This record gives sequence, C-alpha cells and structure tokens, in this order.
Amino acid sequence: MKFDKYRRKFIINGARTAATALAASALPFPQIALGLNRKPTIKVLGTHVTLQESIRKRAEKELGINIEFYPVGSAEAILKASTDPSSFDIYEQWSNSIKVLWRANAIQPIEIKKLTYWNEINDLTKTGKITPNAKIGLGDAPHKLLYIQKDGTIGENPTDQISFMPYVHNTDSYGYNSRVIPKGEPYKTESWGWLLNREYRGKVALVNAPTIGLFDAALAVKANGLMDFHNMGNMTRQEVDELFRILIEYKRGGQFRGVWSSVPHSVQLMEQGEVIIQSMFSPGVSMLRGKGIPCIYAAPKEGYRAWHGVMCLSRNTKGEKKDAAYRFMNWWLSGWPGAFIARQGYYISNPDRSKDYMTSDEWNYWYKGLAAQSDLPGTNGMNVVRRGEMRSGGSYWRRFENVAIWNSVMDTYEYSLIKWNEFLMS
Amino acid sequence: MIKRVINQLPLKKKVYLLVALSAIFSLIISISSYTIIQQGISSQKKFNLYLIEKDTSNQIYTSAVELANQVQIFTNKGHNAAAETVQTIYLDIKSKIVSRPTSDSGYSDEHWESVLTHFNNYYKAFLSVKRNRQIRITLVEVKLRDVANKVELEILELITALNNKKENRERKLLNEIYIFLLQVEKSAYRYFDTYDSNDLKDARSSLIKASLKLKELSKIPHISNHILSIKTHMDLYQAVFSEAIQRTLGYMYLTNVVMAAETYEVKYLTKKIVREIDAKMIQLKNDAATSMRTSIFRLVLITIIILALLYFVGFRVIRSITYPINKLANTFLSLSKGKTEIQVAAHPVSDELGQLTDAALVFKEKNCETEMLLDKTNALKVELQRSNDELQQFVYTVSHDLKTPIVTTMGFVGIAQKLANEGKFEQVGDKLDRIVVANKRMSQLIDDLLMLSRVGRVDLDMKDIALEKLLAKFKHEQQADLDRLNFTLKLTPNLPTIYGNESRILQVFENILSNALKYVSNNEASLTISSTHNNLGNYIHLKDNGPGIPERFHQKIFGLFYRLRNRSDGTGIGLAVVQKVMRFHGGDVWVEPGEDHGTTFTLFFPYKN
Repeated sequence: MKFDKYRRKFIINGARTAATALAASALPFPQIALGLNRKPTIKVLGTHVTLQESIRKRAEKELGINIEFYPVGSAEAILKASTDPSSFDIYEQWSNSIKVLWRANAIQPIEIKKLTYWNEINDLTKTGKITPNAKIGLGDAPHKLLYIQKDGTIGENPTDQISFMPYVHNTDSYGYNSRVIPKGEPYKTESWGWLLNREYRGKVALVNAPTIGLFDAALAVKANGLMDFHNMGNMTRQEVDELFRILIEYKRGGQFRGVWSSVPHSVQLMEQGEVIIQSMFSPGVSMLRGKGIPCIYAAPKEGYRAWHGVMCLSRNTKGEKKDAAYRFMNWWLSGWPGAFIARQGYYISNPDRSKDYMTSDEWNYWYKGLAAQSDLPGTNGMNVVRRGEMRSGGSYWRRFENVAIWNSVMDTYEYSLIKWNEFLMS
Repeated sequence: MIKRVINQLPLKKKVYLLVALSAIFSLIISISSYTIIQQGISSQKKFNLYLIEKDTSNQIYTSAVELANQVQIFTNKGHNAAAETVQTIYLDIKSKIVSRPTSDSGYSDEHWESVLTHFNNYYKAFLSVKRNRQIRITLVEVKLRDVANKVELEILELITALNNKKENRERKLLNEIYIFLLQVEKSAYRYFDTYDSNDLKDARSSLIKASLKLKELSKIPHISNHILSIKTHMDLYQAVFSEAIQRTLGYMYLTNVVMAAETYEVKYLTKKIVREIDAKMIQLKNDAATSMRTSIFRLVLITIIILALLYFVGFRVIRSITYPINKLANTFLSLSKGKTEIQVAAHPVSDELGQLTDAALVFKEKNCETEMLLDKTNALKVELQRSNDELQQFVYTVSHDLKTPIVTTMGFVGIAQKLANEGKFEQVGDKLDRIVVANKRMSQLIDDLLMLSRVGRVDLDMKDIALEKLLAKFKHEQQADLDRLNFTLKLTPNLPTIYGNESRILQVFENILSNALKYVSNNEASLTISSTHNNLGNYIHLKDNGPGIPERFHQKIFGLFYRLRNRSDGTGIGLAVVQKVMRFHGGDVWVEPGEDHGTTFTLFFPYKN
C-alpha cells in the first residue's frame, strides 16, 4: 500500500514536472515524460455477469491501474479468448470454458503463491465438496479443472499452479410464477420435472445454451422418468439422441414457448405472461420480483445446476500487465467485490472476507438463507428484497450441498449443438 | 308545454316551424346515416390495413424460412451467391418492417421492433459466421494443410538425411512421429468433416504422442537443431489446429444456437402476430357487424322517434290551426243561425285566426244584442198583452166596482126622491147617509187605484233597508191598533237587509198586516214575520193564524178588487199593490200552499246585484 501511494505520488509529481518543463522550454521527447505518467492497463474479457461498471471503477480507484472491460456474449467471449489471447489479459467466464481455453493454449498457469487469499478459498473449488457431506455434482465440477497437472493437463490433484482463480459462483434452477403455479416446497416438491408438466404447455422456456439449457432439459426428462443417463454430465451420442427425441416430441406438442438468449429476454417473457416457468438466472429472478412478479427460484429436489466463475490469465500477458492482472485477481477476493455481487445473489469463494462489507441482515439473508429483517438493496441501491422475504433453497452451504450437475462442455458438445438446432427448428 | 308554446305562435310561424322541424329532422337522419356509412368505411379501411399487416407478417415468415435455407446453403456449400441472397432478403425484410403500414392493430411498434431486432441479431451472427467460415476455411484448408505438410516434409527430410546405420533409433522415432502426424491430420480432417469429438480426441492424442516422441528426440545432440525446428512447426501446427477447432465451434455455435434461436423467435413472433391479427380481424368483423346492427337499430329508432316527434309536433301545429278554424267555422255557422249561447274560444295570438275569433266575438255580440232586443220586444209584447189584459180587467172591474156605488147611490137617490115626494123626510136622511157611504167607498176605490197606478212610476229612491229596524218601527207605530184588536205582531230576529224603496216596502207590510187584521177570527190573532235565504235572494215569510186561504184563491187574491168576503170593508186593491210593488223590486209574492190554518205570504227579494 505504501509503495502504491509512493508510486502514485511519484507519477503525479513526475507528470507535473514534465508538463511544466515541456510548456516552459518545449523540450523534445515528450513520450518519455508521458511514459512516466503511464499506468498499466489491463483488458478484461468476459460477460456482463461480472464486467460491471461499478466494479471497474472501484477496482481502478483502489488499484491505481487502468482497466478496460470487454463484456460480450458467452460464445463470443470463448471464441475470442481461444483464438486471440492477445485480445485480453484476464478472462472472466465460467468453468465450462476452461477445457477449451487450456487446450487452445490461450491461457497460462496461475501461480498459487501470488494469490493473497488462496487459503481463504473454500473447499467447493478445491475438493468439490463445500461440506464433508455434500454431493459432488455431475459434469465439469470446477475442482476437476482447477490444478495444472505435471503432464500439462488440467485435473483435480493439487499442484502449485491452477488454470483459473475461483471467485463468483452460484446455483441455478428454474423460476416459476407463483401467481399461476402453486408454490412448491423447496427440496421436497419442487422438481425439474415441472418443466415438462403438460399443464404448463406453451408457457415453458429454456435458456438458449446447450451447455446449460441442455442439462435443465435432461434433469426434467430424468425427473419425469422418461429416460436415464449413464453420466448426465457427459452424455453419449445415443443419450443425446434420445434426449432430443423426447424434447422434440414435447416441443411439437406445444410444451415450449421457446428459448431465451439473455437475462432481459427471460424477464420479458415472464413479465408479459408468455412464460410461467423457465430456466432462470438469479438476476432475472431479482428483476422480476422488483417488478412485482412473484417469481420463485425453485430449489429442486433433484439438486441444482451449478456454475462457477473462472478468472484466467492470458497466455500473452507478461510483465507489469501480469502484475496488474494478479493485483486485480487478488482485489476480487478482497471483500468488497464479494459483497457487491452478493447483492445480485451470487457467491464468492471466500465469503468470510466479504462479511465485513455487508450488514448482518444482508449476510443473514444472502448467505445464511434467513428471512430479511429489513428491505435490502441491490447493486444499484434500489431495494430488491422486501422485509420478511427468505431466499429459496436456504443457506449458501445447503444450496451447494445439493448440486446435481455443473454447467459442462461434454465430449458430445459438437453433436449437441447440431441437435439443439434440430430442437429449435422442429 | 309544447301545446302552450305552439298555441302562442302566430299562424305563419307555425307553418315555418313545421317546415324547419322537418328540415332539421331530415338533417339528423341524414347525418346519422352518413355516420353509419363512415363507420362502415372506417372498419373496412382498418380491415384492409389488418390484411396488409397480416400479409407483411406472412411474407416475413416466409422470408425468414428462405433466409434460413440460404444460410444453410452458404454454411454447407459456401456459395457466395447464397450469402448475397441472405443480404438481399435481410434488407428486403428490414425495408418491409420499416415501411409497413400502421394498422393500429393493437400491436405496439415494440412487436415489430422485436422482430427487427431478432433479424438484426440474426444477420449480425450471419456476418460473424461468414467471417468465421472464411477464417476456418483458410485455417483448415490452407494453413493447417501447409503446416502439416511442412512438419511432415521436414520429418521425411530428416529421416532421409539420417542414413547412418547407428541412427536407426532416431529414424524409427521420426517415423513414429510422422505416422502420428498423419493420424493427427486424418483425424483432424475427419473431425472438421463430421464434427465427431472422437476424431478430435484421436487427433489430440496423436499430437500428444508425437510431441512426446519429439521430446525424446530432442535429447539427441546432433539433431537437436532439426528437432527444434520441427517442434516450432509442430507448435504452430497445434496452434492452427486449436484455432481451427475454436473457429469451427464458434461457427457451429452461431449457426446452431444463436441463429437458430433468432430464426425461431422471428418465426414465432410473426406467427403470433398473424394469429393475433386474425383474432383482431375476427373481433373487428364482429365489432363492425355489431356496431352496424346497433347503428342501424339506432338509426331506425332515431327515425321512428323523429317521425313520431314530427308527427306529434306536426299534429299539434296542424291541430292548432285546423281546430280553431273548425271551431270558428262551427261558431260562424251557429252565429249565422243567430245563436248566442255559444262559446267563442279565445285565441291567444293576434294572427289571422285571432282576427277571425275577434270577428266571431263581434258577431256573437251582435247576435246577443239582437236576441236581447227580441227578448225585450217579446217582453214588451207580453207586458203589453198583460197590460192590455189588466187594463181590460181594470176597466171591467173599475167600471163594475165603480158602478156599484153609483147604482147604490142612484137607488137611494130614487128612494130618497120618492120618500121626499111622500114627505117622509126622516127616512130620506137615512138614505142620504147610505149615499154618502157609497160615495166614500167610491172615493176610497179611486184613491186606492191612484196609489196602485203610482207604484213604479214615482218610486225612485232605492236603498238598503234593514228590515229588522224598519219593521220594529212599523210595529211600534201600529201597536195601539194591534193592542186594540188584541193582535200580536211577532218579528223573528236576524231579519235581513234588502234593497228597495222604503215607503213601498212599508206599504207591502201594511197591506199584508191590514189584510190579516181584516180577517181576524179569534182572540189570539197574530202575524209572525221571519226570513230565509238562498243563493237567489231573501225570503220574508209573513204567517198569520187566521182562517187561511184556499189554494184555488192563491193567485186570484192578487187580482184587482178581489176579496174573499164581500162583507169585508177592503177595496180588494191591497194585495194587487203588494204584488206590483214586489215585482217592481224584481221580486215576487205568493201564498205558500198546503197550509190548513193561517196564511203565509212569502216575499222574495233578489240580492242587490
């Protein structure tokens, strides 16, 4: 911190001196003077989930570096990152992109020793179990992708290097409008099977992403006993065929309104009454509730579909940019950012450090799953939680004890893309 | 109200009112009809706009399908013509959406903007696909092949260069690397052809194996430079391969997920728009039919009401004209027949009918005057007749009654002459007394006749007379005679005030009292004066307790010189005077019938006005 202050002071004074000298004598080599004033700039490529302006400004202010955010869609982010590592210094997305990035040699190993809060990161990412009794979800659980193995592959055996820094994560499920659908009991009656309930015909939507929506559909099919999977997290071609056969049959029967491609789209569909039950993300549920629509984020008895945010370092990032990138990664686990994204319903990998940046009421509501004692603000300062409300699914720990599957890129990913198209066009 | 207003209007204005009302009502009916027609035209216009919007939506749906087909052709075959067609269709769709007619179909622009947004997203994704496809083709068909060839050639060259027998191991390893690289190439191209991840796995596995073998070779010093060069090219090979995979995945994601979802949304939304337009059209059709039915019903109702109103007002107006005309016609007919007892209805307005009404009134007045004159004439005629009869009776009576004393006198004069001739003078004196009596009687008769003739000729002083007071005074004045005759005159209280000539009225009471006194038949004789009244006037009843008058004489007793008993010392003129006085006062006198004892004279005095 002292170094930072000194450095900033030095830069400012240097800049003044240089500017004065330049103005007084019109000396040549102004680029040298400007060079003294230069702060390292890092480029962050990712999605809107974490690339938020409030975060960028706060990080710039606290770190004294320039940060450029490049928020794009999931597919674009992974394509850009995997094909052009020079387009970013830090990549923020989900764990299901790690395999692609690592194989594409787009990212470099992260040194654990440079991560200030590594020891505070909980076991969810390190071992796959947030508590000893928790079940490990199917698919690409983040701990399976975390460590860089001796042979250069990524795996779950702990080493000194990791492929991503764990930070934001959450459990997802489906949301339903309790004005239309009777309220269920978390973990007992709420089930992924509801997505295929014929009573909701024409009012069901899935998220338009085969690495996510496909699992929602698979969980629904399995919950209804229509088929079973050898390993839902990595389906065979035959299983993909059977799954889509069932889905297409349902779609032709008018079960689905369609798919949504963005959170605002999912909000619009339910707000306009076109949909009463659908795959949902936490901010979408908050937005709907803010609009007075009693959208309940289900706690399915089969377990959640979970996702984990990953922060990766570009293969091309070196020198002071790399230092700045590490500082930015460490800043993310320093407390404030964790508290900030908690107000959107997301969790951070070292929650205790964020606790100090939250009121006890906020902590109790967002993490402990207790009833809010007062109205709670969201990230924009507007109240998103009314007094007395309780987060569905209980505490952070209980939710992550019940992960059925993680968002995953299966071996049959390419094939699932083609089948997804078939499903949409049917 | 209407009737009153209409009746207040002059004839001309009534006619104008009728014409104006007809015009206004016709205008209302015309406007109503026009509104209905306009409503129909408006509905038809709206309907047509719906049809156009529906057609646009259907066209866009078809275009979306065609667009997807062309994209499919481009992605599968890479025909540039298909890409150009995609652009043309996209621009055409955009233009159709932007320039679509506004049908006010209940869709906000939001719906169409949403369709346009999805098309824009679709086209944006397509452009990205186009770029990716080009890059992918370059990578897969050019770069990857070049790099693979280069590495393979380099390995083959090195194998050829290693001709020493001691270098068998190196040759073997290089051959293995070469075979692995061939397997990589084979699996890679199979993957890019079939997108089977097993091929990708094989390619990756072979590449790792090749790298491991190369690592083994790199430990041999005399070929390390060659191996380093091969490694560099292998790294490049791996990088190109990875990028090709990512481009392929990205390309597949865009076409199978992003673009497919956008196409689905466009198709869904356009179908939805068509469905909802259909619903709106049916609604509009039903609304228009209902509205038309309602409007026609209203028009008919308005027409009926207006016609009824027109009939009512017209009837009132016409009746307000014809009714007085008919009435006037009847009036004039009656008037022409000389009738007077007809009502000429008042006409409140000074118009032609008012003038006719005035004329009728004048006519009636003249008729009344004529009738009055005739009545007067008749009355005069009757009076004349009565007067003549009376005169005749008078002459007869007078001549008879006046003759009696003369005859008596002449008889006694003859007797006196005879007695005087016989020298019986004492007896002559007696006869002379009789002559005097006879002459006195004649003198009395003449006085009474004079009095009778004066009634009505000299009585000009008419005034209100309080009978109670007058009769009290009368009683007081007569009291001595009444006492002498032991006769009681009773006056009941509250006798009325009448209008007349006081002296004549007093004469009436004197005559009736005198009459009663003449015919007193017992020691307790009396005359009671009482009164009654009704709406015509006052009735004064004078009831005695004398012998009474038989009914047959009730009229006769009012005749001149008529006496019930000859021995009576009256002249028989008193009651005639009474009758004349009463009739002069517009009243009358009569004897009440049905009385066995006593007589009741009733005097009728009409009210002053």
